[in-house]
Amino acid sequence: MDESLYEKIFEMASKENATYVDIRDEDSLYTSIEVIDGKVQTSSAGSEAGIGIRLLIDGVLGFAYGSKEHYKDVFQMALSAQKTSKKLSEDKVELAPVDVVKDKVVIKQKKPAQDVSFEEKMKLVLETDKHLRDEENKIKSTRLFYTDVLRRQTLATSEGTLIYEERPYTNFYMLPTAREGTDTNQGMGRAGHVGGFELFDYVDVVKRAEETKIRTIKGLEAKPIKPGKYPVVLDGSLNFLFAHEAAGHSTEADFIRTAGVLRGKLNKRLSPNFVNLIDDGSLEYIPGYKSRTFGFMKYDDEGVAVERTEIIKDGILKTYLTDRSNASHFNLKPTGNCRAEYYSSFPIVRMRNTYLEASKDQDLSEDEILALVKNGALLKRGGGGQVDPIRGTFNFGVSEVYEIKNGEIGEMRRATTLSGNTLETLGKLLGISNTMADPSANTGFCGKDGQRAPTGTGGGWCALKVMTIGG
Amino acid sequence: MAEYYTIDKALEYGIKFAEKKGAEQVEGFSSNSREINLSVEKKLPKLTAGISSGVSFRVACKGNQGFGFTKTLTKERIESTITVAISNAISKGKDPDFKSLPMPSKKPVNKVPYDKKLEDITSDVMAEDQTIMMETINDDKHLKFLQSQLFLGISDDRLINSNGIDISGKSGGYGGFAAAISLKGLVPNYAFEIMGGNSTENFDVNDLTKEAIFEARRASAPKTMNYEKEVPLILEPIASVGLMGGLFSLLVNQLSGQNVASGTTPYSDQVGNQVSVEELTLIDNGIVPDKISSSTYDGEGLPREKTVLIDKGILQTYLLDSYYGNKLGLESNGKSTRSGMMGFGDPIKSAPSIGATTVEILGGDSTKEEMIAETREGFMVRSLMGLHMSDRSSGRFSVTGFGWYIKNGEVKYPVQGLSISGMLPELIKNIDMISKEPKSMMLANCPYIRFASVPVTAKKFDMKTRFGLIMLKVITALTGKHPMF
Repeated sequence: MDESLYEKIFEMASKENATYVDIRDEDSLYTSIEVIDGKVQTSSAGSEAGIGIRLLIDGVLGFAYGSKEHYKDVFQMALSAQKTSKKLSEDKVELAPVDVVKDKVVIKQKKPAQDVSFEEKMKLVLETDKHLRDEENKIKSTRLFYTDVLRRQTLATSEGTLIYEERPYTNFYMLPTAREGTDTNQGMGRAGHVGGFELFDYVDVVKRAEETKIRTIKGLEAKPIKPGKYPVVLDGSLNFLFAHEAAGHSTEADFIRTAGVLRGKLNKRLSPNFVNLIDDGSLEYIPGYKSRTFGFMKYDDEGVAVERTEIIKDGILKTYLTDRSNASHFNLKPTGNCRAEYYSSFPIVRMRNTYLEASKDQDLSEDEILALVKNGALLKRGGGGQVDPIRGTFNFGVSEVYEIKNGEIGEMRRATTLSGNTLETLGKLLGISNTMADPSANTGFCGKDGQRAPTGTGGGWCALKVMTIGG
Repeated sequence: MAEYYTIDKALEYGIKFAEKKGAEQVEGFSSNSREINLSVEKKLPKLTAGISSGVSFRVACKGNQGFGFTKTLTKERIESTITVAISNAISKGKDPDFKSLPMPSKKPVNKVPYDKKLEDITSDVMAEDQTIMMETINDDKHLKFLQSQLFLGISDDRLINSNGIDISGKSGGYGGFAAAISLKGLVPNYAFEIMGGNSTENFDVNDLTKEAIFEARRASAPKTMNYEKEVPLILEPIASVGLMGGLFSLLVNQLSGQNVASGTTPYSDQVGNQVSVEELTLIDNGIVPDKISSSTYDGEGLPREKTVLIDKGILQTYLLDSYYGNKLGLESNGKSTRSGMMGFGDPIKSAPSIGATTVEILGGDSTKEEMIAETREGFMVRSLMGLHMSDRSSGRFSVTGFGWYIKNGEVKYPVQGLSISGMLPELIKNIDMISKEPKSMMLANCPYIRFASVPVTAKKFDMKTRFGLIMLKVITALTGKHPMF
């Protein structure tokens, strides 16, 4: 925190008649280890530091970044960016009012990852690697990634907000590949949370590795499912992906301000009345689990306290996800969804923990969800996704597929993808369970405008009348 | 305030410090880059300008490597970065596959020129280009301007290693994308075009806008349809190796030395074997003079090369850097990049790793028109979504596409929501036509490619959704404003 520097920048901005300035001053730490086939292939440790300055003058924003010692140059670049933008702007930026906040938030790590030796981290990854291997040697190759990040950022605004935040992320991916002849199958297991190395006290990574190995081998032996339209049951991990890709992105106000399938649909019915679409940055823990959710935070990158946002309430679209500019544009409340990957990134609207939830008293058990689909497919474990919010088309990966025949779970099928259209699919939900999934296994990095944002989290099982399954 | 070093001093100090601390070999990389990124989303501009400076060090110690980076150029931070990198290298133990950091290469060096005129491009020049794009698209009575982006990057890099490699130079590029939307049909539909090059001569905003308009017009009023068949599929060049990825980007990834060494690709031990139809020749060319992905040297200071990966269907070699070249008993072919996943694409934060440069697929003997005319029923596809979820080990993919329905040799209408799946290694044995002229794109030169038979699934909007969309059209007609735009 360098308050005297921020004051100098505010003073410079004031001379230029800036109505608002924010400064993000970052000095973050990174460690990563990549193990391939039982050997540490790459290890990296480093620090990322600098400042980003955003100015608002005459309803037009300018943004620039650079190193802290060259703050005067960064300021001049931001000013020049604002002047250039003004020439092109046909739409004024106004910022919705928010509370001024002074706070210091240090999200606790019970075992700070930065204090854990490289040797201990390496040992964990190498030990886990052994459990991805099988006696029959069907797993031919393994790849594991460990990363810990300590994001340290001060946000200072000309309105008086001053927030210092330390937000730690620890994340672990395991990717075994099974092979038989020329046929191969790559599996994925993951563990991650907002916190430190205590993640590995909370999560039995050996067990997770063993399960990942078994799934990968079974996946190799499984036959592909015939591409086509099926009634489906999604597990908690796919509830997260569905909520994020099929619905969440299409409600991001910056997309909607440009164009989108859900533009103009505020207060309109999108789903049956038991459906709620939640994006909750304040959700720290899921009952029954010790690790924090991956989308947890206290404030967004405009200093807005995050909240539980009910995007769809009882089937009706109640709000878009907003930053301050788009909240003002749409006359909505700021929802605390403004995020930037680094000090060098332009802050944009992002999700946090996104999932579908059933309305009160309409929560179903997993068995009741399964009973909603007599013949179809049970889909488990998401594996990335993508959406086109203008066309409304989306797809996402599914690692485990089981046939449902006459209400019974049948044979396992190969990993596949699911696709659909937002406009249509939200209306196809048949039921939702509110028993949420393990947050440590439901971590994601959402990509938008070249920036990544950590997001979560697994919801409960849900059933849909029809979705398109790939091959 | 701590004393900050200049970037040159930081690099030189770091190398000396590493040697003093016991590193047997050191490689230092410094980068001082400037970017201007100007986008307009409908009516709202967004300009990011910035300078990024930093250093990274790769050290070799006790038979292994360690890597560290910092953007804080103080003595203390440089020393701690190197200390951790050395300690990590030692902790890892001896790696039998690691022999040495690269030695200076005796291979010919193909100098990729730097265009100094890039430095004359200011944000005001870019704003003028943006205005051309916006006005030209809005002048088209069938279309509206949706969004556009222009990006300028100039980087001044230096790489030194203790084996005698010492290279430095500037590189840069200017490019952009433009997207136009058509409000015809039930759902608004858009199309975009991306262009760019490593000099001001290789990028013309008028050409970009013209192409975006052409694409948006032919993509307007898409339909949804119920479909479930195996039919011929024509891939437009951008769907093969576009900036957003493409089907052949997956193949290039499978030919990375790293994947070959770990056996996570069907192409391990396949050099010399027929892996595709004879008509396919696939090249990774790091020295095409006008491409943004070209450079004189690779990420560890070895000369970039033109590498034929598949020649007339026969696998020739893999993408190799010095480490995997050594591991596979081959020589590096200059494919080391500093934009890997572990550094999230940032050249300072990324340890050197294997990556593709400009992908080239040689032209065949058909014309695009002949490919369409000879398709009794099938699709021509321009965009594919979800390729990053493919199983890279097997090449199994299942993606959502946008394209055109072809019937009796004629393009009938655009279709959205096509599900296309298959196994890439099988698919490249199933190519039956390749167009004569490869299209020059920002990161690739690629022709139209037809596969003889691919499973395609699609689903028509249900009655309720269609009714809702028809109501939107009525509102648009009455108010003159489309609710979705």
